[in-house]
Amino acid sequence: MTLRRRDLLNTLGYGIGTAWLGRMPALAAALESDPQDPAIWPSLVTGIFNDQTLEDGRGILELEAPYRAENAAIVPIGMKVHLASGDPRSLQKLWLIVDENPSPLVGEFNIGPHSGLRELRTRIRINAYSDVHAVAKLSDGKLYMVKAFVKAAGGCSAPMVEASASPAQIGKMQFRRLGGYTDLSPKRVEGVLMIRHPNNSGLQMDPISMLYIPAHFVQKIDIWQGKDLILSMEGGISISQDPHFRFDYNSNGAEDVHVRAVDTKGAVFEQSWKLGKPTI
Amino acid sequence: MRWIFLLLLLGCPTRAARALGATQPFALHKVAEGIYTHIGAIALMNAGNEGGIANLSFIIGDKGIAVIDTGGSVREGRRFLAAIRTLSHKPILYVINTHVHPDHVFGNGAFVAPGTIFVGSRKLPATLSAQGPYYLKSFAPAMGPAMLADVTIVPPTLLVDRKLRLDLGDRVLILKAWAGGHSGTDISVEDMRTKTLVAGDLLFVRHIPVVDDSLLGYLADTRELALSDAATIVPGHGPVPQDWHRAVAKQAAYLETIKAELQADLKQGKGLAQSVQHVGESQRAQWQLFDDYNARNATTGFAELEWK
Repeated sequence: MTLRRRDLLNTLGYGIGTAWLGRMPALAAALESDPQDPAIWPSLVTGIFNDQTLEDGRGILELEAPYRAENAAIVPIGMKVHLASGDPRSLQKLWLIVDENPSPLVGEFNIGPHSGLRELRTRIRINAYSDVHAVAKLSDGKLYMVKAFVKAAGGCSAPMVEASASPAQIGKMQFRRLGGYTDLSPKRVEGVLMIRHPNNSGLQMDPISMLYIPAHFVQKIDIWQGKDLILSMEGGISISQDPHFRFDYNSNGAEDVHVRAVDTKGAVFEQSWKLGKPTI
Repeated sequence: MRWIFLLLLLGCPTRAARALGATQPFALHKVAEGIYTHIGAIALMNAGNEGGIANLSFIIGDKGIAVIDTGGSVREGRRFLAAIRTLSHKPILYVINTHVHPDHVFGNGAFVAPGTIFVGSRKLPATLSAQGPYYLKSFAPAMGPAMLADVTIVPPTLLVDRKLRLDLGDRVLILKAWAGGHSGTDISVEDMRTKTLVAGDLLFVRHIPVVDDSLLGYLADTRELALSDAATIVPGHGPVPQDWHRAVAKQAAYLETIKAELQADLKQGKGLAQSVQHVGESQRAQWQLFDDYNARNATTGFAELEWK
């Protein structure tokens, strides 16, 4: 495992945008520690949050994670922020971290300032029994953390399914807007974005060559409605094959949703969907 | 059909048997003339059962023997080989792996010998080399390092593209590669003399069907299996059914149910986490190990159907 982690660091160098580069030494130190070492979380706090104080997020941030992952390569995870109706604070950013994964930081999610996004669901790989941490930054500038424990093993090296392995499929996208939830205010809608991409973790083996498939994953996704950003993600290898995001937001009346995704080979996938005016 | 139950005590509690970890006799059922099956436990692989959860079969012809699946550990494979040798000393000509899963192939090492040819799906060598190391790692906690230490990944050298004919002298076996759905590497073995179809995990009896590759593919395979003209079908898990048509229909009903419920959830915009909590629940009483596999089947099916 240690060897694989080192290999990953060497080959990948966490080339996931410059914002990550400054964090490499701390992450590297954390990654080379024993997988069961409880000290990994403090070193991740140093690496990712620069030792900023993390408040107890219980009651504010809810992390939905199964106690046992049915399929370690597709573990559904949800993050939801609960703010009382008079609370002036808003959600600015979310982080998702799987402590024991070769690349613990699953993703950073910047929330569009006018989006009203409070809930985000995705699917991730979990390589070992692990704590999963979610951190939310609110407009008060503070970081709120919650965690859950997930029993899963082998998610990062689980062989990929054939469907999105074919080059012709890579980058195909679907966006769906759901609505009609009675507990949501009239302008509240829900969006689902799906992208066909192998999101190779760099830990999967090519069946023919017996060599590790180089890491190849979607590293950035921006989602807009009209000119307003809903969500911007920077992600790593722990996002499942065929990246999938589901989120709620305030519809601003724009007729189109636009998505731009970039993978680690520099391929850009862009698509717009005409939705028609919100009917509610 | 007349059933003969054979108890093969491996030399009773001899030192050799104990050394093999043979705490229980290795039971064989006679399925048809010259065809025997060991019925695996309906359980998850663990150190206590030596990974012995899959059905293992062999067919004796006058030129030699074809072994179909080898068990979930080399220990189980050795016990299976010892049991075969109590009935026949003919050479083992073929070892056929019905698919890639560890409970069917981890015993391969016990059968490696000059003159024995390993047979599998055209897709098996690649899938085995891709998934073998992953299986070894992910089954280590349940099986323990000792049980897996001598397990080697033995790929087939004789491959089934569509159909393959194997001649055991006085009987011919037809091997058929299926579209895939259970594992993507599934083949069946039919003995043409007795019309016995050894189906591997194309058919589950009592043990809940496991969808590892594709829900729609598995459903298609199950429907095709229903059209078989076999007299007897040996499932990959669970007892050999008296009425295989009923067993196949039951499996199809389970797969149809989860497909329909997943499609309904997708139409309503339900998410994966929400959907897998209830899909298939009406089938719970029909199957053993429901809690171990149903949600996983639903997860695989959901990720597949949402792109349709």
